[in-house]
Order: sequence, then structure tokens, then C-alpha cells
Amino acid sequence: MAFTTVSIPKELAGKAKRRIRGTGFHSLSAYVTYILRQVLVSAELRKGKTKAFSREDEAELRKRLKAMGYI
Amino acid sequence: MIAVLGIDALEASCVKKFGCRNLSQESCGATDLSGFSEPRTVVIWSSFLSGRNTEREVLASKDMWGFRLDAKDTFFSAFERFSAIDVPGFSQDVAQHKREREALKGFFGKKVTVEEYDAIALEWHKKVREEFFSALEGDYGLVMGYFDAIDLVGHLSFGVEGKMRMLYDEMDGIAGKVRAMGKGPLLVVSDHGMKPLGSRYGDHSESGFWSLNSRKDLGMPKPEDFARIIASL
Repeated sequence: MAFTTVSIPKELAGKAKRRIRGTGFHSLSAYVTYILRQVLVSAELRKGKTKAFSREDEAELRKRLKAMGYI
Repeated sequence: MIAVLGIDALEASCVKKFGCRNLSQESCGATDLSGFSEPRTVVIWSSFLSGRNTEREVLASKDMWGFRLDAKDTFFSAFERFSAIDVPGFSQDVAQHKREREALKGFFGKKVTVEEYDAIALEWHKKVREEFFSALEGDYGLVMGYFDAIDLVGHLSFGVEGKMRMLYDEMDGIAGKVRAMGKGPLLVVSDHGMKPLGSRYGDHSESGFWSLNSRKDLGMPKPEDFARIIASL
């Protein structure tokens, strides 16, 4: 996995560093990555709730699941 | 101790896309499922355990999901003490997996929401995870745990990237924890992968995934080759 650098306010970085003391996060970068992922996943999940369940795809899936003995 | 992390429908391209370094380990590759007419879960895991293609006998049995191999017909017999948690074709919890398939039918019948369906899979996942780590602390020559949340959730939500990423992160965390325990060889293996069906759903793909925490070139093994591979670890 490739990495890049982002800039955040020093004051915020200081607060975040204090916050991760004694937790499993080994660095500020690991913590910021975790937070960012949470935000992006939440957004994706909200999008997923409205992601269409197409009738044609559903019919095809049912056929496939039947062939594999699921339903 | 040898640890086997069996993950239903673990898809190689997702392992890469989501940056799952613990799942991909030191060596990894794809498996060859060309000897099977369909990538059926019980058929492939039974073949994996027994070292032979079991498709005919599993499909000839009255209830595919209830198909059971004797330990003497599997690689487990090479170990004085082993633990096999929820392994299809051997120790799978029939009632739980029936519940999962009923929920899937319920979804199609508009009686179960996708969230309710996911919750059934995730609750069971937590139980298996707990049993798996408990067994890894035990005095066993081999521990195998079977995790199916990626498969179950993936069938209805493979196109919801956030949900799939969360599950891959979870399985990567489990692999990472096992690796950190340093008990010995760790084999991560799937029965088949998953491919998109439309923009939302997921279907079984025609090849599975393997990885090892040592440098080894296994090529593109068939599921039935793993009994021999495990004996050589």
C-alpha cells in the first residue's frame, strides 16, 4: 500500500496525540487513517442503503443461489 | 500448531483492493476450481479436507448441508489433537446455517431486511471468532476456523464497498492477531471468490484464494491438494 502526507493544524494534532495515549494506536497517522476510514465507510453505508436492488439482478441471483443449493 | 483460517468467498481482488496485508501474508495465490461443475461451498470444503474431489458424493447425499466426513477421511486424522470450528462437511452447525439460508429466502420473500440478514451473519461471526481464538490457546496440533460472513453479506451487498471493506478489515484483523501469536504455520484459504452480479449483488467466482506466512510457491493448487500441503507444513 502506498502512503501520502496530509497537513492538519498543529493544535489538532496535539489533541489527537494526547487522545491516543494508552490506546492501541501506534502513531498519529494510524489514528487519523482509522478516523477517516470510519467516516468514509459510514458515507458508503448510507449510500448502500439506497443502492438499488434491481429485479432482473435479483432474479439472476436467485437462479445462481438455487444452483448452488442455498435456496 | 498449524492454524487454518477458512474464509468463505474471500476474493483475491478485494484482498488487494482493501490492502489486507495480514490476509495476503508472505505468499499468496489463487486456487484452481476447474474440477468442479459449480463453486459449491460444502463440495469444495469437503474436497479440501479429504484430499479428493468429493463433488459426486456430496451431491448424491440427501442433504448437501448435512454432509459429514469422518475425521479418518480428512487431514485432521494426522493430528492427535485438533479443533475444527464450524467447518462445512465436517463440523458445521447445521441449525445456524439453515437459519442463514432461511433468512436469505426471507429477504427474497420481502420478510427479512438486508440489515436483519446481515445481523444474523455477523452475530454468528462473533461466536466463531471467540471459539477460534479460544482454541488457539489450547493444546492442539491444528486449529481450523471457518468464517462465512464475507460470503453471506456479499451475496446481497457485494456492491456496497463500505460494507465489504469493513468485513475485509475485520478478517484482516483476525489474521493479524493469529500471525502475532506466532503459533506456527498459518494457512488462509477460501473455497471460491466473489464477483459482482449487477451493481448490488455478488455471485461465487471460479477461483479461490490461499496465503501462507512463509515463502512458498504453491502455484495454483486445487482444493484437494491442500491435505498434502498441510502435511508438509
